[in-house]
Amino acid sequence: MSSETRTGSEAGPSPSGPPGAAARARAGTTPTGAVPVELRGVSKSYGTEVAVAPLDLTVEAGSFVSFLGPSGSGKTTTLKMISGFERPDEGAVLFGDRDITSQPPEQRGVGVVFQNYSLFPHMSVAKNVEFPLRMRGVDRSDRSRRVRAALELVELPHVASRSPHELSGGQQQRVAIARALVFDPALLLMDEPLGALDRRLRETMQLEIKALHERLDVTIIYVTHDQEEALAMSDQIVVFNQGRVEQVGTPQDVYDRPRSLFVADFLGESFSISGQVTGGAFTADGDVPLRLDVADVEEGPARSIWRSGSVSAAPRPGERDSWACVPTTVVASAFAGDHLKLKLRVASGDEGIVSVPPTSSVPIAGDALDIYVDHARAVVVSASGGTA
Amino acid sequence: MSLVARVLRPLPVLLIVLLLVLPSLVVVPMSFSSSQILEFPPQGFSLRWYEAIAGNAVWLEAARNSLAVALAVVVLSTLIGAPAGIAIGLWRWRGRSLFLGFALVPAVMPPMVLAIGMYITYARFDLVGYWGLVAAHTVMALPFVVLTVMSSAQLVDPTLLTAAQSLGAKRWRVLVEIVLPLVKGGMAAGAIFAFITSWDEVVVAIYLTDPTFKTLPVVMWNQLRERVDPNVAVVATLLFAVTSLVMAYVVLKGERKKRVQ
Amino acid sequence: MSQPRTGSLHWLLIMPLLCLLALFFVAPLYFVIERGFTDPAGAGLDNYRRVLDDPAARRFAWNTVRTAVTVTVCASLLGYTYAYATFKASRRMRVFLLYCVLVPFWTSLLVRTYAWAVMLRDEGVINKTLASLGMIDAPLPLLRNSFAVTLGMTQILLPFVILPCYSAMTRVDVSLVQAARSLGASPTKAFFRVFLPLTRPGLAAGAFLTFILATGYYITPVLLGGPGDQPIAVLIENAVQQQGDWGLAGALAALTTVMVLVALMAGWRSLTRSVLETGRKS
Repeated sequence: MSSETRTGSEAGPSPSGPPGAAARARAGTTPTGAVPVELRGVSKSYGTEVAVAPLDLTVEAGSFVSFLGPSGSGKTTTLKMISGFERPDEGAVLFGDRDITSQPPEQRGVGVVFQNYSLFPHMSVAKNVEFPLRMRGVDRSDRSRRVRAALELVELPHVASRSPHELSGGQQQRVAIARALVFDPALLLMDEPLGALDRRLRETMQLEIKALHERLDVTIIYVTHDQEEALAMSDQIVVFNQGRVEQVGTPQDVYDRPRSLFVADFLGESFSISGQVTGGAFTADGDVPLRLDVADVEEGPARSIWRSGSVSAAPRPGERDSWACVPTTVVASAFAGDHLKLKLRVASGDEGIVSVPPTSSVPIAGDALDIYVDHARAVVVSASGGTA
Repeated sequence: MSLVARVLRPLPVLLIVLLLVLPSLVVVPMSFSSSQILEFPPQGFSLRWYEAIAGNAVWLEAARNSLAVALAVVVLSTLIGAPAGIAIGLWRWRGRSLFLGFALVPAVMPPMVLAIGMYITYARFDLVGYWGLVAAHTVMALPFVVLTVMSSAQLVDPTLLTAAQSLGAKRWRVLVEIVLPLVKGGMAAGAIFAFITSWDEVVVAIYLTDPTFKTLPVVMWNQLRERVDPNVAVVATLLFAVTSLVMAYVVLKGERKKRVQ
Repeated sequence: MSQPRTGSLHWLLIMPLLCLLALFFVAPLYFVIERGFTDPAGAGLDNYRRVLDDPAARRFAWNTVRTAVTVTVCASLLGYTYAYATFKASRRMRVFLLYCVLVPFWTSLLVRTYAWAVMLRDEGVINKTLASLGMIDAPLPLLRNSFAVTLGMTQILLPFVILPCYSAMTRVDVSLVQAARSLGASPTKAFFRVFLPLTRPGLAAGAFLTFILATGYYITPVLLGGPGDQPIAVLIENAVQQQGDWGLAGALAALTTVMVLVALMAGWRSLTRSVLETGRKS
């Protein structure tokens, strides 16, 4: 288990290989094909405020990569440097072998989908989708054929002659996607594209976008602050915090093996205990009876982290060996149907929120509660390296 | 609420409505007067002053001149003012509010100061007459065009421009394809204001016209200062009727459009 | 989303306007002010001394300021009231009231001014009506005095207060007033403590605009005012038309220009704030 916190990471190899490659073989249509995107030491500051610290990142051709982070973490600025709307102070942006750092956005051939759809209100749906083709001097007959194909791709051929404001939010965003794809871009950037939609529609659209990616030969970079969305859709997740990349990895990687407390907190509920790493072992602070063997973690203050799935309010039969018992006090509790949500305090003073399988009685604030945590699934991160 | 209060409450507003529209409305009956002098209420009803106007070369000539000046002013001020309005409304740039102030100052300068300044300056370049007046009125009309176009340009969602650029449009193409259609309404409003500014302008016109080239307000002004007959009322009524119809059409069309959306 | 980069495109767009204003606006202003210093030859500050020593000039300046202040106060009170009524009115009523604001714009200023003269004179409709009702014996002196000037100019300048006030009101978050009410403020208190302060920028913009425009008025005071109501513009006109005294006219024009610019700078913040925020609702 790697527990070292690194910043300015490079993308690890995608375990399953880029799905776009398969799609390319199936479709065999576009002459250009998806491109890999590489950022070499790019940085951006506004005055004294550092928006993006020097950053190296590789996005593989045909993959679906999410930029995940809170607002102001630098993910949108990074996206703008890729689309060309911001010029990096230093460093280079490459599409494949091509250095496009100084190219204006209209020459990059990148499709962009915005949160507020950004459909041109004075043009019909068809005219909107036709716009990028017109800008590229595609001849008329070809244009109408490709517009129809793009609208069929998002299953909206029947709204071609309507005006954007006559469509629902979800339909508008599908038109925006058709418009960004109609000119066969090698790269599609999506900036919080579902942020304005309600929850149920968002989930449907996530699946649709995912399906589109499977069918098309395109690299997608998807900016979001919603960790569930990033986990559900991506091949790779790049977690941003305060202008830096905290971690790059597959959804399972960043969720189960966070490299910092920030990543652990941002990607979901976790329960953590502070302690010390000495001589290859983690010892919890205070009177918490916990000791874990660790490798690759700096000596000194550290924290051990558990996801909800590796925490239980009662020991599971047959698993006692790998589960350690931690005494806690309940601060607050809530019953949520298939699980209990508990806010707990351990003897060292650390607090955390966990979801546990429901027990026969719901503990209330002030109760003492023994929590069982899975030794094997604990993640230990250095407290000094973390940015949280 | 007591009955008295209910009657009295709308009274102030009613009085202000009267204040706003009364001077425009009393002119109409005055124009149908049969008497020799301009008066209200008019004595008797007749169309004699309408006949008099129809056969009066001075008025017709002046109306033609005014129209020619005003139309040229509309074209010039829109061509020059609209791009500036777009630049102010669309982007933030250093010196923007200073430039806006500069562009708006002509609208608040005392007309008499403008008039004598333009008179001595334009005379040096032999610009008195039609083109001199067009230049002067364009200066005075520009602030309205800049202001109205700027207001509509501010309503343009900046991400539309970003989107257009990301879809392959060069920056001038974005202006033509996206911005221009979206500020059309502001340009139309600005053009109407520009027309009215020129059409109605007296003080500068007095200085920049000569006996061979007079505009309608100048003729009216001379009339009002000398001998007052219902001629003026007739002209005013005709103008009022025409502009009211145009504005009513514009307003009703705007309302219908709003209802559709 | 930040504003898009402009590069230098904005220069291209504002250049025609800058050139036009430089040639046809700044140059005339410069030449007329220059006359104040050079006519007659070597005049220097003589013309300004003449203006300051001349009691007539002081009187005309006082007339100008007095009228402008009175008109500004009247137009602000009436304009804000009207804008508030419009804001509170039902949809149909609102359309009607806004339409009424625009009516003055499409009737010639000359004609409107003259209509007042016809209505206000001794044999005019107002005096006749009052006399026939037996309320007065002799006609009231309504014309050729400050009352007529104030009435005429207020009528003309009212829309310049109403429109920015109304636009400011439409931008007020109504829930703030409701919040004030729910916190125990009476309707009157909620209006004065919450609504009025929130719409003050619009009122300030309208008032400044009215004041600045009123200082330059010429037609209305000439047609409706008495000898005691004539503004500086008339003095400039006399200097040029009757005495051919371009030096004096230049000095007066310079002083007027300075007065307008000072007023403009004093009101600059509220004016630009109102102007630049118009339409920034969403």
